[in-house]
Formats: sequence, structure tokens, C-alpha cells
Amino acid sequence: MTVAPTIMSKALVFVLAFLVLVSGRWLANHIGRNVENLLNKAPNADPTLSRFFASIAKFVLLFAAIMGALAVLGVNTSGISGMVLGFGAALAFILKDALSDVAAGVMLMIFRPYNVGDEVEIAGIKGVVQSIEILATRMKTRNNIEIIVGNGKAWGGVIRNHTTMGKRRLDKVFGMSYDADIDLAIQVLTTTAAKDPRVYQDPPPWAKVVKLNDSSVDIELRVWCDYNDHRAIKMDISQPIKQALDAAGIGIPYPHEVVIKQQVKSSKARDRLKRLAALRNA
Amino acid sequence: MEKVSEYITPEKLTGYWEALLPTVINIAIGLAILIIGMWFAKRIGNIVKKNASKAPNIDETLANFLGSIAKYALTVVVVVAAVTKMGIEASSLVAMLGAATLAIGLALQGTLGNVAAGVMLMLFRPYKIGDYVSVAGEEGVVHDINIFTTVLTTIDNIKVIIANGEAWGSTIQNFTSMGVRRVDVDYGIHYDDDIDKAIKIMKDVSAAHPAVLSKPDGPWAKVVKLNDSSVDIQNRVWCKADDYWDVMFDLNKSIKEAFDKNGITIPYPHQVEIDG
Repeated sequence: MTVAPTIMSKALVFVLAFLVLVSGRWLANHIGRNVENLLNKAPNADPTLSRFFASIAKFVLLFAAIMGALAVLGVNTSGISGMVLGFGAALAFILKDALSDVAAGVMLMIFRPYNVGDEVEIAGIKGVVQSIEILATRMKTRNNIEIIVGNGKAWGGVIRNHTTMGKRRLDKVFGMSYDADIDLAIQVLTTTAAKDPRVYQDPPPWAKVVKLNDSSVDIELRVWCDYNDHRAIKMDISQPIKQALDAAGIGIPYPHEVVIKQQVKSSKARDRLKRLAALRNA
Repeated sequence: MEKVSEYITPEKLTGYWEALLPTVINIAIGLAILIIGMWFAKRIGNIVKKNASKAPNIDETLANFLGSIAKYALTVVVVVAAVTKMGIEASSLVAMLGAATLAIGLALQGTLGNVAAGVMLMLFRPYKIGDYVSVAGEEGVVHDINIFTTVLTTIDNIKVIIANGEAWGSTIQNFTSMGVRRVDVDYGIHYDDDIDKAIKIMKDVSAAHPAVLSKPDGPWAKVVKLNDSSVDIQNRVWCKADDYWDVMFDLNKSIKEAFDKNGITIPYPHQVEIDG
């Protein structure tokens, strides 16, 4: 007689808890999807990032649904919540570095100091960005070595982006003979550089004496070009300049050394040589 | 069958109803909180969006983004409040949010450090946009200073993005802020050359350059080192910070040419070979 109502109310409670769980799960999935769609519409949207946040939102809501269902069942959830707090704190401390990589990854995706395909230097290593993931940035060097740099290193340090400015300046030093006419050498350098169609006429090629070096007068040539042409011009420019300098009769000197021959009758050095010879003969 | 009918007599039903009534009311209030709260969240999100898009340097997409962040943050608060009102123990939810906050705090530690450094940079202004600086070992013109990073462009147009923590924590060299700079270059002359004559040529040539200033000091030249193969004379001239490189390079050329004309030689490295 008295058992039946309790069973019935218990059953009702179970059904209610089950309903909370199911609707909570549905809601979690639904909101997760909404979050993903919304984030994809944000500026600098990144599918990886959107999915990451969506799954966080989903799991938080799912957890809430489970807690709700347990609460309906009459389980005291405050103990569980304490455990969750402690567990979460411990995890946060353990994963501190990974978490800061994640945060840096989020920052990289929002502020975009580099994009996929950019040539960058991160933490002193140069490469072309292959992908920006939530924990790390993958790069490839020009000679095909894959480099994986933690995002914390990139966002917390120095990033050099070679691509993003579009225009680049190419600097190259040429050593001229001390006997050469500097004005003529400068003219040869600038006119030869200007002949390359990829080199900008404005600003025009520039050349000045940057150093009076040991054996050569060092003239630096500076030309502006598109980023895309920068590497090619760097490799292409030396040959025509060498030919033009030859045609103008300007020499590129070998290292020079003035040798002063000294005949000495007696000196420390000579005495030592003599002693060594005597030792060898003995 | 009759046993079941015993439990659904009108009196029993009202008993159940009375027992359930507070729960139902709470759920209703919870739903009301949820609906009104959601409406508020949406409105405030819109207000944020509208105000943000009025700011000069925020574009429309960013404004939308900020608006939706505000909306969702408020929605979370509303949901927690509604759930609590419905009688579900929200402490576990709050605990989870707490743990999440701790995790986010730890994750953003570095970034927040950068924000603090950014505030310092904006307050104390060791450099401003357009200055030529050396920061964290990188040289370039300051392109942008924002809350997280300092952006430089190098002379060959590489964009350098430096975390503000790194910038504020390192040595900052500002080549622009003092206005004038001194160009110091060593020129080596032959040991047999007339030092006084060389010094006079260097000073004359320097003084003739239009960008060289007579203040705080006119051109200066003295023997700084008796080097292996040359007598090294240092030339010091003052000029505007912007003219620094032009002055240096122009003087290299004109001093070399003046030396050639006046019989002063710049020696190659010498070596004495002792013939035993």
C-alpha cells in the first residue's frame, strides 16, 4: 500500500532525470554547433579554433546536464563539485605550458602575425608556415625540414615575417678594387640592377660606400622589389654585375697582403731558427 | 486495477499538485529568468556592437564579434541564475566555471604579462611610432604599438612582431629620440703618411658635407689606435638622426677620394717575412 506511491514518485524522478540528461545533451550539441557557426563568422575566423571552442562549450554544457540530472535524482552534488574544482585546478597546473600554448594559438589565430604560406622566422628559425594549429605552428624550411614550434614561443617572443609587407629591399655588398673609380663602380651597379625588369624603378637602385675594408672598397647595392621576386633576384643579380664590372674594367680584388722581406743578420727569430736546425741535425 | 484508481482520486490528485506546486512555480520563475535574461543579453550584445562599430579603429566584423562575446558571457550568467532558481544545485556548475577560470588564467599568464608591459610602454613611451629603435635585439622603425605587441619594420622591409613583455623586459635603444647622433668611423692610414695632413683632410671633408652639424661639436678626428698595418684615425661628426647613414656612407666615399688626391694611402694588411 505505501510502497507503490514511493516507487511511482521514484520512477517519476528517474524519468525526469533522464529527460534532463537527454534534453541537456541535445542543447549541448545544438549550442556547440551554434558556437562553431558563430565563430566561423568572426573576423580572422579559423575552422580549427571554432571547433576547439565549440567542443569546449559542448563539454561544459554536457557536464552541466549530467550534474542537473544527478541533482534531480537527489544526489548531493556539492561533493562532486568540490572534486571537480580540485581536479580542474590540478589539471590546469599540470597542463600550464600546454595551456599557454593553446592561449598563444588563440592569439595567433585572432591577430594573425603570420598566415599559412608566409616566410617567417620564429624563435630564430626560418621557414614557410605550413599550418597554425592550436598547440604549435608547423613550418617547412626551403630545404624541406619540418619545424614545429610551440605557439607560446611564437606569440611570447619575436616573430619576423618576410612576406607580409609585400615589398622588400634586397641588400648586397660588392667589394671593389681600391684603384677603381668609385663613381663609375656605383653607376655600373645601379644601372645593371635597374636592367632587371623585376627591380622597381621607384625607389631606384641605390649604392653607396659602406666600408673601406682591408682589401676592397665595399659598396652596398640596395634595390626594392616584390617579395615574390626577392629570392630569385638575390640569386640572379651577381652574375650580370660581375660581367658589367669586368666590361667597365673594375676589379674585384683578392685579399691583399703586403709582404716585407727582411734580411736580418741576427735577431731572436733568426737565432731560434738556427737553434732548431742544430737540434734537427743532432 | 482498483489499486491504481485509489491513487488518482480527486483528493489524492490535489495532494500531489500541492506537493508539486512550489517546484512548478520555481521552474516557471526559472524559465522567466531565462527568457528575460536572454532578451537582455541580446539587447546588451547589440548595444556593445553598435558602440564598438562607432569607434574609429574597429571594423564591422570585429564589432560583431565583440557584441556576440558580450551576449554569450551574459547568457552564461543568466543560465546559471535560472538553473539555480529551478532548484538544481548550481555549485557544481560554478565550481567548473571556477576551474575553467583558473585554467584560462594560467594559460593567459604570458599574454597578460604582455598586456601589462604594453600598458607600461604606452605610459612611459620609450619609443613612439616612426622611431628607429633596437628592441629585443631587433632593429627597425616602429610601425605599431598595440596592447600585446610592438611591430617594427626593418630597413629591408621585414615585419618584426615583438611581444611587449619581451620589449619592455629588454634593453631598448632609441636612435631617433635624442634628435642628433654622432657618426664614428675609423679610417686607417699608412704608417709613413703625415697624420696631421690626414686629420686635416678628414675634418675639411666632413665639414663640407651639408648634413654635418657644427653643434654640439664640429668634426673631430684623432688617432685612436696604432693598428697592425695602419694608423687608425677616428672621425666623429654630428648630424640629425635621420641623416646618420647617408652621412656615414657619403663621408666614406669623399674621404677615400680626398686621401687619393692628397697622397694619403689606405694600406693593405702588411706582413714582414724574415729571411733566415
